Amino acid sequence: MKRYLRIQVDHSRCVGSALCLATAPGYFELDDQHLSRPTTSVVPVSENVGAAAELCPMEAITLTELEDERDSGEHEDTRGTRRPPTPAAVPPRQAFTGPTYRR
Amino acid sequence: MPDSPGRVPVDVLTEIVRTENLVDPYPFLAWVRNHDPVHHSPSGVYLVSRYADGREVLQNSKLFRNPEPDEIFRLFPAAHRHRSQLLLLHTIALNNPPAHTRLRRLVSRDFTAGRMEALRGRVGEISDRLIAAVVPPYRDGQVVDLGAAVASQLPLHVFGELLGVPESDRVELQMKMPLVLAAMHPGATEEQLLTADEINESIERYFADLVVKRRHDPQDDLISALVTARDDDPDILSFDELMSMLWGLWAGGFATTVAAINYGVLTMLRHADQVHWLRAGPAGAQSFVDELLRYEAPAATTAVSRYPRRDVRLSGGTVPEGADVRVLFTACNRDPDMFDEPDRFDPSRPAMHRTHLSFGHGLHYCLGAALARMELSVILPKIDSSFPDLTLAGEPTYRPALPVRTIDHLPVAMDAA
Repeated sequence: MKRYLRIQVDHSRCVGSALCLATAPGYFELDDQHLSRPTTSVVPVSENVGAAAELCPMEAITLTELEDERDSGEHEDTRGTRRPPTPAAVPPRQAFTGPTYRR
Repeated sequence: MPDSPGRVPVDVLTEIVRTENLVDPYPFLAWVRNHDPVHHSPSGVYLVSRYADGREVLQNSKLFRNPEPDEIFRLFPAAHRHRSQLLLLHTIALNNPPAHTRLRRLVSRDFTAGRMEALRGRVGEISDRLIAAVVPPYRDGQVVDLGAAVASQLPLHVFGELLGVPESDRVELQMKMPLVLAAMHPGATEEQLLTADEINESIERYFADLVVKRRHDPQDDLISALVTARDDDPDILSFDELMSMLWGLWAGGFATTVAAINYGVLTMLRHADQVHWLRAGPAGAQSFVDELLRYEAPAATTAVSRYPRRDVRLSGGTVPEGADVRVLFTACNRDPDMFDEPDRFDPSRPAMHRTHLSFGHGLHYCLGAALARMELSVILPKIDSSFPDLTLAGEPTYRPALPVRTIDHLPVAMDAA
């Protein structure tokens, strides 16, 4: 089953370094306040996005792993009938921060 | 070089290190930004001085990429014969993804803002010790060199501790760097290269010995963490990469912060009406520091060249494919198209930490940015409170070198008036 990530950027931390834009091209953009935001909030799991979260100098990026992109509640069934959210079925996991390097 | 209308017959790279431009760079830089915003120096380098163009060059790391290994050899033709230049190849700053990502990931967590906040107390202790040594002669009416006594010492010891270099070794290790760095340019003479090689060999031997020590007796420092990472998985970091990493961190890790502290003191003296920000608690001090970093960029230009993959039209002019492109931070940070009244030092500007270019932008955004911001916000208020009636007691000694705007001596004394 395809896995998804919800990307969130904490604007109280972001310094607009744009490391995320450069590490995961297409996944982030800077707004007119030089603050980063995801171009799409829910994306299929991506190594580059994981790297962007790890490289953020302010640790401003949170990635939440979802098993179904519709768990975000942000996607509607294309046939027009809205699926009810199923929070009990798949609770969001711990923030995914990519492979950890043993120290 | 073909002539074209409006071509300015100067070499900006040479001009900016002339004495009058070291003392006050900004009139000349404004002239460059207005008349030659994508300047083609006779040395071959292109210098970008508009803020928007500078950001574009830095942010678009796919279009403006780092040199590839064969370009480094072309740039440094002696590199294959000289280990000192070869080490450049493997530093984080010189790499493109995916190697860059792999290398930066190894150290990124050690330089986050959160980690740096945890060091604030320790930075305060070191600051107090350094200041305490010069307060008595100061109060006695003597001239004190804040550059040599405080500015050049604080970042050295903070970084030394972070990295894991024993205190007794730091000064000697630091003194070796300028001779090695002097050879890091295409015009270096054979003699300079041989000297650099010798010194470099001793630096590498030192780090190799330290690596062995930390393997057997790991400490809570960066060298130990890197050694453990490499021992756990040699594919993550080769020996050459480890040496380059330590060398690169040491070479680039704090000269800029030293310059920033010196310019911080000069700015306190030149803009006494803004010093109250340093007395307004951590947030006020941070605002002063962030505006300081814009107002006096510690590095005049990017240290690492970018190479466009094709001809690129910037707002100020075109850079051809494969050109050696550098960003002139001191000019970009004073661009009136970006900053209202750019030559006014005003810490009340909002969100300056997100706007100035002094830490770069994009892929190679300064690894030590949070450390520098924290160090400056600790030391400058302490200097303000420890040295009442501070005044300049002679001309600062501006080193005519690039890219770091090094000040070797900053003589100050208590204002007798």
